[in-house]
Amino acid sequence: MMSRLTRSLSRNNSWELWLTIGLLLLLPMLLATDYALTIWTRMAIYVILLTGLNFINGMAGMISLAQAGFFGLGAYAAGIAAVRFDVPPVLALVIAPLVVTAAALLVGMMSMRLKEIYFKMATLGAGFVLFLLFGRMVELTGGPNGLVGIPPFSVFGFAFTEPIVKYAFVALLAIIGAIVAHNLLVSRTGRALRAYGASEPAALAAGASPFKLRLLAFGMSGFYAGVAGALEAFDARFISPSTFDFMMAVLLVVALVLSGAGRMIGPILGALLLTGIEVFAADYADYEPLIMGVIFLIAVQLFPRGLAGELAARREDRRERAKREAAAQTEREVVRA
Amino acid sequence: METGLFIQVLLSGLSVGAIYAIVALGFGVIFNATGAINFVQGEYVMVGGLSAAMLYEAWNVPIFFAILVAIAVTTLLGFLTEAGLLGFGRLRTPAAITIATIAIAVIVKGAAMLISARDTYALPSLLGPEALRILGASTSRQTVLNLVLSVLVVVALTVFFRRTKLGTTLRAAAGDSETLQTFGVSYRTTARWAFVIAAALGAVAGAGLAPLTVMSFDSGTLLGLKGFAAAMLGGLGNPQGALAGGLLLGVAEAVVSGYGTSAYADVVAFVVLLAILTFRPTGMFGTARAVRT
Amino acid sequence: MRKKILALLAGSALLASSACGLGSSGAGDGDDSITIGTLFTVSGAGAKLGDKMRKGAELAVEKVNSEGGINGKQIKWVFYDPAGDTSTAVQQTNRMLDSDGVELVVGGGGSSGIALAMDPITSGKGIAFIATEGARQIVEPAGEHRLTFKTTFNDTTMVEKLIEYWKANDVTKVAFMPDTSSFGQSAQEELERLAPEAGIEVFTAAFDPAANDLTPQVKRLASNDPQAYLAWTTQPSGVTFLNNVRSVLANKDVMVMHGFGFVDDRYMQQAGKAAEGTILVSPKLPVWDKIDDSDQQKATMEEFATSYAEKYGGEQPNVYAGQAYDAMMVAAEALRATGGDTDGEKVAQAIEGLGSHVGVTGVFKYTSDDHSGLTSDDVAVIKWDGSRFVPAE
Repeated sequence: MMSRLTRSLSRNNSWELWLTIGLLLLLPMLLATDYALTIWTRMAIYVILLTGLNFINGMAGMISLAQAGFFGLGAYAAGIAAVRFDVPPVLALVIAPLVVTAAALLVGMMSMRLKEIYFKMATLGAGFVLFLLFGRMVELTGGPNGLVGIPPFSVFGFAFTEPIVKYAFVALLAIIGAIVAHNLLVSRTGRALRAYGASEPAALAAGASPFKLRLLAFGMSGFYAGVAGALEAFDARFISPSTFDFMMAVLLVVALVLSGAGRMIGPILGALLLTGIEVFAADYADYEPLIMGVIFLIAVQLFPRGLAGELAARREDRRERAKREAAAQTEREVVRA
Repeated sequence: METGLFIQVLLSGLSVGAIYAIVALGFGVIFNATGAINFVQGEYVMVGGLSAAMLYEAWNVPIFFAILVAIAVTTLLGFLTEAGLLGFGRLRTPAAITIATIAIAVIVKGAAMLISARDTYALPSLLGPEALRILGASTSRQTVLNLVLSVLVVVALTVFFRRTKLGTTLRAAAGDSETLQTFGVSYRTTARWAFVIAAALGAVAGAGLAPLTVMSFDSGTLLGLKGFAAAMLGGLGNPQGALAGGLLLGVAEAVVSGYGTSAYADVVAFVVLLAILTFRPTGMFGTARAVRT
Repeated sequence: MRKKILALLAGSALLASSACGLGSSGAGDGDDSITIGTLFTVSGAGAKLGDKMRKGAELAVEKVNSEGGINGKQIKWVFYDPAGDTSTAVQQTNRMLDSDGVELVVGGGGSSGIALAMDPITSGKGIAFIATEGARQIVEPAGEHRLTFKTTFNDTTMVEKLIEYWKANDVTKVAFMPDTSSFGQSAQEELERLAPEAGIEVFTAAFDPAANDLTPQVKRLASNDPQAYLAWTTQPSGVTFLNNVRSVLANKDVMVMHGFGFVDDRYMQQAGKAAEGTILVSPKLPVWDKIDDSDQQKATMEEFATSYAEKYGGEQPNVYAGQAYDAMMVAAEALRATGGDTDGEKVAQAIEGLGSHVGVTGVFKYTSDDHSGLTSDDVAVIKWDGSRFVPAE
């Protein structure tokens, strides 16, 4: 078990990281109209958000439905700091992840010992409370009408308003985020986290404290959600609660699960999937929910372990079969001899 | 006036709480049988209430008959849900089933939107429109009906789980196929029964809810989540707990509406959900399952 | 294996990019048509209203096109459903402007938040935008929203009319129940700002639009002995409000009121006896056949109401359908004035120069300071008499 794990880690993950970076650099070259760039920017924000979710969903093997709420908290923290307190955007981009990390650690501590399904529902509750508060704390958040007047991101008076500049900035952070995530994963802690995700006794045997690991995963996911949220606020320059609702939380989890939770390639595939869905859905106004639901169900039925997971499992099966066949072959040869 | 407000808050809480309780029971039945959380539960309530109201209002079906047909339709939907989830034999873990139920909930809601043409429909109370006055407060007669219904359903389910063979299997199964084999029943059979029962419960809740408000395709989702919070409050899978949890949650919301900042009333359910999971995840009345690692 | 994933990736990237419609060129370049883009929410919580708005706009487009279009050019209509979400709306607005070749935007998603999010994008690209949403921040101050207009009443206008009505009926204490959506919250701000100045005391208790019982709020407000109960919502819980107020205040003669978001035959019928005598502030549209023939709007309203019912199988139009219809008609008229030129500045000047545009929800008089166009003269106080809306005396 452990050996298979380390083997797959050393072999697979770095090309997946390179592919992520490659796609982030390559996609805008494919198409760089203003509209395409807004789409790619959104996709890059999703990459950061999903890389964060991957710590819990993928590594620790727990499903969190709080990520949309954390995403919103990051957006509101940055937006409120910039609009209500005139904090410079650079500083707001630092504040937001710190606020969300703190919130995530709090929720993490509250739900730390819960079993899978109860953990999922606790995160659902946390996400929902955040979503409702965005709409209710009118003085601070602007309420259901949303927060208007968020400035564009700027450094030393240079405002990031050109679509290509915006994309470059978000993509840069997404790449840094992916590299950090990758390095953490191949570190000792990361291996322990994965082992914990795969099986608890393994983690205990390795001498790791599962609760500390889980908390670490949750804190990391919060940090990434905070960065993604702040970027969303400065990109759209307008935020409202509707973006961070329950459906968003579900979509994030589904996108990650379908594309391969726990793998480095998951976030970029998931982000492509999410933006693809958003763009595709716009053409089917009346039937959209129905079509989305059916596609979603078929996908879950086809790939209960995720796309990447499914392919990996198939390869594993093939290898087993080959091994069995080889063994049978030797047996036959032995018999013949 | 003060006692009037107190009684009013209590009545309002019980009226809505009875509905939460019946929804919570549905969650419990499916959780006990499969170990999964069924996100379609809220949509069953919507389908039950909306189809009864549509039959009554648009096709002039007599009210009692309309409710019966609505329950039948929703039960069939429960049967189909199970087929959509487990019919392909690919979903094995409760987590995978739970995610797939969200997909089915989205489909049901999307279909209901098109069938109802986004319109709202109303269903009058079986007991007539007059209000009931108690100690300076007033409530719909439907409140009494809903309370009686919720208690009856709890008693019926308790007897079913304890006294019948199928009930015992459903209660003990918890998605554990090995246990099931010792009972000589297949996993699919128990799951199918659980979904059918849960859907019927949802329809009953819908028929009870419709006279308090009007139904639209959007009526179920939030109600389902609140029903889940009620189930957790009482202890997931425990019928008496579901009743207590539902009524308590209803009253808690009414207290915030009547005495606190009413804009925050809908936050209550989710704060309760978080708090109970943090401090007492087995719920007030316990559940048969281990909830912590 | 690696190849497979790569192929898969390339495939999904292709899919994503082709789905983006990135390959399609701008549609508005041709000389024979003008492309107008619209967002309304037709799924999710606001679906019922969004659908009415879409129908209203659709009717207007068909009318303009069947009458020969705008200076010979047909309107090409692009429609998207943001499902109530602002970030989706932002993306769809970008798509309309950058990829679909939309030259003028009419309709802001059916919720104020969405219209507020769209405004900086359309303005930034020099495109005129006629919103159909309520919040006055969408167009105020007009100096900062040069290219943005709306065809809805400001909450201020509605509240002024309400205060006028209350004063005429000696109402000094009002129980106010807005829902917690943007619709209710905007009205709450205005009412709590303007009513005290007019010597009217307001007691507020907000409610969740998905609530199923509002008796605790009603009972609490009742302790202040208000003469009027006013709800502000577009959601079905407004029916619950009517039932609950009548039930809690059984033997009391109070004024039960709703805002213009609840002017809908279906809702009133569903509240049954509890709806009888409900007073609402509204455009004149629902009572068009009851007003004086000398009213300049009458012919327009009649034509709209009959052609709407004809097109949509007897369905009655509501205020929202009317607003969307008006927005499209204002756009068409302004475009006729510019000779089909869709340059944002020129369209804005044309709208400000329309003088008065007789619409179905009011007579619009836009100026360079007022991009809402309606005044409290366009508001009627109406009553549900148990079977239909009639003017309240």
